[in-house]
Amino acid sequence: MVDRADITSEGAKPRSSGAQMSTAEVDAWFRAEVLPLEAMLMQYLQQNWRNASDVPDLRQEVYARVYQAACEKLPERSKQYVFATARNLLINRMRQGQVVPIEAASDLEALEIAADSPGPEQSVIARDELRHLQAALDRLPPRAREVILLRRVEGLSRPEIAQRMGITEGTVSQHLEQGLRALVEILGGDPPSVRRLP
Amino acid sequence: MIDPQTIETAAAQWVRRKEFGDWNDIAQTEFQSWLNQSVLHRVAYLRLEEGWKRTERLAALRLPEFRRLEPQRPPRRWTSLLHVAAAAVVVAAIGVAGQAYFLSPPEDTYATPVGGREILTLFDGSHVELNTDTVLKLGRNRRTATLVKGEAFFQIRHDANNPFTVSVSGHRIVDLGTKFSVRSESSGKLEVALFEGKARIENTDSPQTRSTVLAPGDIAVATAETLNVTRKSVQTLANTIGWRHGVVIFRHMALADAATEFNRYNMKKLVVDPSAAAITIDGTFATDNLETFARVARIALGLTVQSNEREIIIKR
Repeated sequence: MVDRADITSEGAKPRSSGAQMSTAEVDAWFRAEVLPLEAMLMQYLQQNWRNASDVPDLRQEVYARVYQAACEKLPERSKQYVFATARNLLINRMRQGQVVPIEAASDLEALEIAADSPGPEQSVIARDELRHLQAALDRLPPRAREVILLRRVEGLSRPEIAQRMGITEGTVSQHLEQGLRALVEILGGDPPSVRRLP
Repeated sequence: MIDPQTIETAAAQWVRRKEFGDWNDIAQTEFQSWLNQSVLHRVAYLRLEEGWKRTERLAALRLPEFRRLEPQRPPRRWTSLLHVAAAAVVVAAIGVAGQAYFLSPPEDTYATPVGGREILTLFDGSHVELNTDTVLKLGRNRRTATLVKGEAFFQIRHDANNPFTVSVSGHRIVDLGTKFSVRSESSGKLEVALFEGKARIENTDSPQTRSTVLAPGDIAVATAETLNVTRKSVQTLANTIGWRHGVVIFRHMALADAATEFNRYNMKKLVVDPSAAAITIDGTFATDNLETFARVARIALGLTVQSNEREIIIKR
């Protein structure tokens, strides 16, 4: 478990009192500039952190920090900023001595170079996006996939989905939530085995 | 501190509630409060919500036949008139929904299926988690709850002037600043475990019975007539709420009791033959992972395991 008591103290930038940007602006920036980097960010964290089970927590921590910093001022180069934040976070975690992957520490110089190379996400076009989605859906548990398809393809309501599948509306909700979480994880470059959801 | 998995579970629930229209003014307020509690909440929500938006593109998979079933577009000149009509329908619908909202009982009902789990965040920052097969009614003022069945964990922001109360099978639990869990069994047995702070438990069916104040580590077991309180170690207590992380934790537990616990979470049931019932086990299992449990029984305990569609039978 990654400790997360202090979002700001070891962040890339200190946070002063009044937020300068509107929430809507920061949300829009976060969706457009940060979330598309997820596959790259996950790859980066996985390569540079030994304990794979920490990676999703580290990712959320990076997101929280860049979001917080962006409330003050949107970074000019989002991608560099995200990876610099990830790098600082990893260094700090190593220094805290919870885990010290020595070979990772010697690679810290290399980390910066990775942040400048163009990412695969830039070449994704609409048609590929649909294919990408379908491939991700194929890896979901069947019931979760069915709920998402009935909702998105056939546009059914929750009672209609429940009736069609012969399950309760509560179970429909459960499948949608777990399916969505697994789907986003897969789209963000999770390895083939679907993570068990609690 | 709430762990990241819990945050993501809550974020997925907000996306689902918006998608299915489980929404009203209270939900909106609670949602905003949840978002503002931590930037970790906000980014988890944005991430899942953006992922859900991406699935809109799946509409492109609609079959041509499916499209043909949709009504033909009306001639151009009618459209503006239709917009006016549509707006009128929307206004009428809001009127009806508003009325339904005010006429409906002053509580909301939350339910989980077998194997389900749900996290409710209230607007004052209080936090309620529902375990498998549970029904909880929450008063609109968000200071009263009724546990109709199942199990729930409460982390309540204390307000001395307006204490939070939970009603459950003939008893009332009054929060005096706490974290506690309540489990109601179909037999009428009630179990309250107190993790932090203080809470009072009262018998509402026979008010002359004196009430008891629970301290951290206390587990109260109540029936209609009796109330027993025992003090447990923090670890023992924590084991009772493993479900908050999707696990059941057994410590020196009889196989028969472990099976009963598992069966709360799954439609497929474990059946332990009397010949094996008293064997005790230790372990932590995912609530939905009957197979691992059966494997442990077979390999580690050397028991015979038979499985069919609906049951896994364990015997010597």
